[in-house]
Amino acid sequence: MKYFFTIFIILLIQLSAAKYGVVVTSQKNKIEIPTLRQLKDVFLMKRHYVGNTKVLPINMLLTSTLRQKFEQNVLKISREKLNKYWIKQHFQGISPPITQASARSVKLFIENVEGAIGYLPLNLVDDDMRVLYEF
Amino acid sequence: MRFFLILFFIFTLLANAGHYELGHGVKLHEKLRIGGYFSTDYEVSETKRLARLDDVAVLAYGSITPELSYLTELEAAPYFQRDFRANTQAYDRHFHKERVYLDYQYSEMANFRLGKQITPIGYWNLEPINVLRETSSNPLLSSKMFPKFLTGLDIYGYLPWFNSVTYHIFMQNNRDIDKEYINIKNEHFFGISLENEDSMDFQYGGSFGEFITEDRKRTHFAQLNAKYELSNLSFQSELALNHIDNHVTTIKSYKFAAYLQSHYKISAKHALVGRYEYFNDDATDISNHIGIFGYSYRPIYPVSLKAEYQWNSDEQLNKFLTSFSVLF
Repeated sequence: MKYFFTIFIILLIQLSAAKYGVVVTSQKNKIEIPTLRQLKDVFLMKRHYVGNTKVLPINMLLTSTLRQKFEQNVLKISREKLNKYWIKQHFQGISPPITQASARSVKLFIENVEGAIGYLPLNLVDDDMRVLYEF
Repeated sequence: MRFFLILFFIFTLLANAGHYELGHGVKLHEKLRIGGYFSTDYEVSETKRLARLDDVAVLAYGSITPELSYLTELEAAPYFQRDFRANTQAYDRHFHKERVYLDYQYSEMANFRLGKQITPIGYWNLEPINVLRETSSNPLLSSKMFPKFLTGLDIYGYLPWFNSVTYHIFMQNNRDIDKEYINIKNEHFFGISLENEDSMDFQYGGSFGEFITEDRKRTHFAQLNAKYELSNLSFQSELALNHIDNHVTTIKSYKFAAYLQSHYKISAKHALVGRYEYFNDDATDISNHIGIFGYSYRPIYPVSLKAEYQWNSDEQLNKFLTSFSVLF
């Protein structure tokens, strides 16, 4: 009984520490490692530079599970609140980050566009990518 | 007729836009997104029974280069109004330049906005349109204490060493591009504002500066603002103090305005709102206490139906207000 309980606790800890994805940029970009606050501001289009580098955030489609995890764990904002936020930003002339249809197209975009920052599932990260944040 | 043509034009565009979502505008091109809004309201008081098509506006914005973007907004207000008690009606179908500016993003710490823009003071002033507000009416602070718009330069960004503090240094020393809807007409306006966004749920800040009105009154102003949001309950408050130096009569006076508003979300679509405000003007000897209680219904966020009752310390100004507004 004790044995099963220990396994259960270990599994629970592992599950709670599980990473869903990473925020990455290309190795070619000289972006400093942003703080969580900076990262959040970048994806909310409040901040357009990290240090001296102009950054361009890329989102996945609204239906993407990884995007939902990113919103929960990095932005820490509910969908309802986020929708309200972007409606208010529309009046200020600010649009949400551009979206890409798949994780592979996010990766391609990051590889080819200077300053691009996006999030990817762990299995798509390779040596061309620089990890800025894990979530 | 023109209003219906505009609505028809907007709806045609929306119908042809692939994944259109109300309140987010329509992306017509990589460098152009358009949107608009309108509001209607109905006011009943001892002296008037007024129906208005208050705001009709279109806006267009986009990025010209990664660093350079623009925004332009044209508005007619009130587009049409009819007072049933006085049996009068009025139109203003001329669209005025509400905002016209260029934004240049230079760095994390310094960005530039040039042109006619909303004055970056407080919260109410930055979200002035009916559909984004929680009440149909505006507090007196938003119209009596500083010019709502500025034709000039705003330098803004994040303060170095403070990750969550943003600043604005704004200035005007010229005529307005279009002064039709400017509440306090002036040709000299300067100010500094700071805002600390502790989190998405708690923010506070303040501003100070001066402006000289067309009738040669130099006003120094100081203003404070804070807002706090819990899951269903939110609070927002602002206060402002003016010291007015009349260069013609050499009389000095003070003006003070403050409000505290709370908003309670009953469910995703229904909310109750309460506001207390105070306004005092030495020069005209006006002192008002105003209490507001209202209800707001939003089937979706960019569509707002609101009703409120206002109690004023001058009972003649008590009124009932209801409004319907949409952001495209």
